[in-house]
Amino acid sequence: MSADREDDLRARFAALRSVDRTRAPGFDLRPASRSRGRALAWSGGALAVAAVLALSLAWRGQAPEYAPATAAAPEVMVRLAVDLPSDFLLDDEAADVRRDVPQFAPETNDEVPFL
Amino acid sequence: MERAELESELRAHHVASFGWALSCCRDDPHSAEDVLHETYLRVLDGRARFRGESAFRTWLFGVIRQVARAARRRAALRNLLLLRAYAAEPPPLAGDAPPEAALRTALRQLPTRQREVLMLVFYQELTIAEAAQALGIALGTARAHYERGKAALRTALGVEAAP
Repeated sequence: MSADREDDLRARFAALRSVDRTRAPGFDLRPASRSRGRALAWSGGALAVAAVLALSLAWRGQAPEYAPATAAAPEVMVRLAVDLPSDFLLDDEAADVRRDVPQFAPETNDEVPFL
Repeated sequence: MERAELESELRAHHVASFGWALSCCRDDPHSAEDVLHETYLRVLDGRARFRGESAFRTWLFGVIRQVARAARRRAALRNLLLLRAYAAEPPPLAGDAPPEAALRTALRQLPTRQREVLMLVFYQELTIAEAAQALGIALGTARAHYERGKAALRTALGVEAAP
């Protein structure tokens, strides 16, 4: 590297420096109004997010409660299990299904092990 | 240092500090002004404390760099939160003559560390050791960035190779 080449770089940077000198703002230590504006913008944004969350929660509070699907009536379940098409299952499997099908007491809907 | 003394030092280095802030803010003068102001406030209210372990200017440049990095991170987070699909790249500085505009463009193409070292050494006329202090890196690392940066800058500027 030659000294001339470095001098050339130094000259380029010196020109840049002299241009930037004209752009430098005055020395000022007063509180920045721009910073306050940004702080207000952030606070406003946070308030807006909080408002949206509050509205969302309020809407959820008014919505009807989740109701789980009711189970089919026990009689229907028994019928479905017993009336399985015999050609759909092998004979042994159909027998197993019929044997294992839950049985319900019609009065209480409680499952009983044997009928 | 007393407040009056700090203010005096800040005033003395104000123009150079603005040039360095401009470089740290990718040539965005408005961001540079904000960064510089935030830096001054940190220095004066004691959040950044000068302990005399280096020259005041070297230390001040380090603080400016940290404040600028924090500002860039905040801006990136803001862009992410606002789902901006583009990075806000500041427009070229108005009023630059072609040689200065070419130099700024070439500097923007360099890796950050190389650009920082070159700006501190050539623009701010610090020694490489002072630049290393300002950047918080080892002297050897700064030398490597200096040499690589010069070569890359020459290439970007289209300057002929050394004979």
